[in-house]
Amino acid sequence: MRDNRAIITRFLLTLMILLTINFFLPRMMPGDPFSLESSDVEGEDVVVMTEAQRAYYMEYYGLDRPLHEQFIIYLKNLAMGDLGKSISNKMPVSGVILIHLPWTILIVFAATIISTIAGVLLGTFSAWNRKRGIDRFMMAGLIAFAEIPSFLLGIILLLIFVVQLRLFPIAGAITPFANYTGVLDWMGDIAHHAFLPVLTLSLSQLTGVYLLTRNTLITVTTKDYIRTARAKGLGERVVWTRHALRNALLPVVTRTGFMIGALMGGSVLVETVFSYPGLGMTLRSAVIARDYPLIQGILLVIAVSILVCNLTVDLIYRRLDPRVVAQGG
Amino acid sequence: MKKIGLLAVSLALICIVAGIAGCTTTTQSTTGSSGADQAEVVRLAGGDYGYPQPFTIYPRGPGSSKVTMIFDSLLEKDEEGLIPWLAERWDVSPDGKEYTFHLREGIKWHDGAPFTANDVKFTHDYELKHVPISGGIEAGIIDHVQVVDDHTVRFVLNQPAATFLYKMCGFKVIPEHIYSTVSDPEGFIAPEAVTGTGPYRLAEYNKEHGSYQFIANTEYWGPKPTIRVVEFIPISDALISFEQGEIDFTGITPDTMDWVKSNPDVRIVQQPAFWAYEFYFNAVRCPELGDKRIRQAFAYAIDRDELVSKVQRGAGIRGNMGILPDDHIWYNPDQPAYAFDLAKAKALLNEAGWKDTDGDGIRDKGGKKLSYTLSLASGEVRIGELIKARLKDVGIDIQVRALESRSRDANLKSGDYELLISGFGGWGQDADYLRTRYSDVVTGTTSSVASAAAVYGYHNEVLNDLAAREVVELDDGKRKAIVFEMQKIIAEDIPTIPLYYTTSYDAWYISKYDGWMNMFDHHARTHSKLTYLERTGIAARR
Repeated sequence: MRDNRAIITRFLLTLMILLTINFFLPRMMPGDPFSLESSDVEGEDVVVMTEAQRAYYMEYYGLDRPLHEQFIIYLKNLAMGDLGKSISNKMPVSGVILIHLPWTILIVFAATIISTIAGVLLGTFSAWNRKRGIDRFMMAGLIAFAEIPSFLLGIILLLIFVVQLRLFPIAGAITPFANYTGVLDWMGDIAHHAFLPVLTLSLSQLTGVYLLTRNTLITVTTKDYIRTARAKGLGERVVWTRHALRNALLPVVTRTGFMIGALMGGSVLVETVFSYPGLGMTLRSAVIARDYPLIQGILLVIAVSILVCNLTVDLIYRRLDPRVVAQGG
Repeated sequence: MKKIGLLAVSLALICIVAGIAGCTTTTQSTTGSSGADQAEVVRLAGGDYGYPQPFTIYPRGPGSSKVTMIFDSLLEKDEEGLIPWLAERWDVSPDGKEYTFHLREGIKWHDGAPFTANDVKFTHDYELKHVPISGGIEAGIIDHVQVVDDHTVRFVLNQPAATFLYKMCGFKVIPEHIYSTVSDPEGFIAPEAVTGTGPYRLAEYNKEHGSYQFIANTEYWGPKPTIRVVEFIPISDALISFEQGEIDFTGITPDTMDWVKSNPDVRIVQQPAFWAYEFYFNAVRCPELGDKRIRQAFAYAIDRDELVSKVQRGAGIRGNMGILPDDHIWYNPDQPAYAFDLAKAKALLNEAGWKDTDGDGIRDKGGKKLSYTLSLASGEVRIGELIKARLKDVGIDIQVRALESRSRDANLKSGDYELLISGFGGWGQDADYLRTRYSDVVTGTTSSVASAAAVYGYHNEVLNDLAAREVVELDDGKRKAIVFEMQKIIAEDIPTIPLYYTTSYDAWYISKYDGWMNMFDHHARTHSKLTYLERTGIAARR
């Protein structure tokens, strides 16, 4: 009982700090949504607003009020589930998030699953063959690979697969103005567009999972209970899958939770490279436009989804490792 | 170890890419050079710029050009000047305060309702309460609008305004029968919100993916649309999309031109140079910059030609100290030129009493050194470094300070800088911008706040007088003479230095569509509504 109250208090405190940072950080950036003076790209058109226009919009969006008042209004509206109105998109923030979030979820989840499975398989393979040539080669290669920033990797993949081989579309999440013959056709189109962003994101996380799996497995296989299992006369395969891998997976699962946070961050860059219409690309343009309500909304969604992931990881962890429940309860 | 691994992998990848590049040969279809003046579908670079009605587009990017495809204005712009559009002709009262527009008869909105003078008056009155993103008439110019009859509407001004007709080109008329019940046009994204009188209807808009599809209005009252379907599709790299035939038109830079040139089906045309970098002096913060000899020394010492060749790889024109670019319809070629001349710069600084007394290479006077911070956006660092090197030769010390562009903008607005560089477009617009940018008094009734000139402390009584006359001069010939004089004065004073005007190139597939044209004051061909209409119909209108 006391334990639960502590958890709730801690959660509320975290949320409050989060909301405060979320509100004030965007507003600490120089400039405001309506003071456009220069172009970001050569040749770009920018409507330079008159002072009267600017005053009109500042009032319209309530940005002319004192900051603390704006903050209270923000909290009140949030309590009622209203994230506010996006300035640059001219529609409710929740609407903007709803249309872009599914694309980010799609590529982040696909990348999480792919990099976890591939990382565990490669890690196991490497640990099985430890100290042999193939293990050393894989380790050196993957570590070197991990050093390539994801946006650079994205550009390289774009150059190879799109520009030269013409295997994938260059931008977007679906073919514009397409007439689909059926659901399969539609799903195929989405997969076709998502392939390169997912590949880039997966590759950026692969090495981490690989190293963790390999190192934990190597540590675990020197433990006493493995020796016991072997002594019982179990086959090497059973020892590895039932005893070693199961224990080695614990840190991998924990890592997966954190990885989603990293992938959400990585999606900002990757989505920009591939013009993929997810939350990351939207966040980038919201920051450029100084669209405070939208920045707040997106950061909140990202923060909440990371919290939810961590919670889920906690639950899965309990199933994998009964000791957690025994000690914690 | 990690570093070496990275290097090896990168090198390997580069080899792979280069290898693939070497193997594939791109084949291009070659067609005759006679271009298509009609097209079924033309695809252009898209991106989300908002729902295309006047209140919901975004201020950044080509949103307003999409609005003009759906909505008409009383006048339009072609390559040479203003042409009648919804208004067939107009009369101006002798005192210049009353404009009576005679509207073309038989025009219908997309939903079939007739277009009348009431819609024009309604648009004006409605926009007093709800400010559109672009094309609104500034508060204070128009006193009121009266409907004379169904096809005649009169604008009564508070005082003569030379730029009134020019500004009316951006005044897009919205339908009274739809908008009169809309209290929040900012959030009005229903299908009827894009009911206009214009040559295109919006068939599809996808905000999420940034795509638009416009279909020609077969019952259009004006020149016939030449392209049946205009599509804006999302792209990540315009040149690659163009090369792959995804889009039919793109802007290109000189370094990528060689590839495009080799294709006989591609036409390449230079854009008018209406986008420029401007170099600001803040004489409020650094009083010695109020001395025009110092500013002139900067103008002589900064090698604008070097900037064009090194930063822009030739794709630019060095700035005129009279501000208006060479491509501007009212550019005055007879003005002080300020070719790169270190000796003249040094002489001017000596004359002003700035000498290097302590031998540190930086000129000083009374304990103050000619040492400044130059604020610019991170993309402009190369410009800053070249300027720094040239100014060092005459004894002026510069520290380049790169900022995020919005921060730089905020500093420019508040006067929080010493020297600053900013890049922006619109240099082809009506020359009245010489007044709004360099006159430091509120002239006429068109502005209620201090101009940029007041922020950085530039003041010239003669220029202010000319500006006050220019804005109320209705005779184009006389007004042009005043603008010519203003350019001379500005070139002598150098309130700011236009470093260079950029010249981009447009490229398009001739066989797809060849009817691209410009407005006289704007650089982008895809932004002109007339670009999508029959040329013969347009010529008949002048």
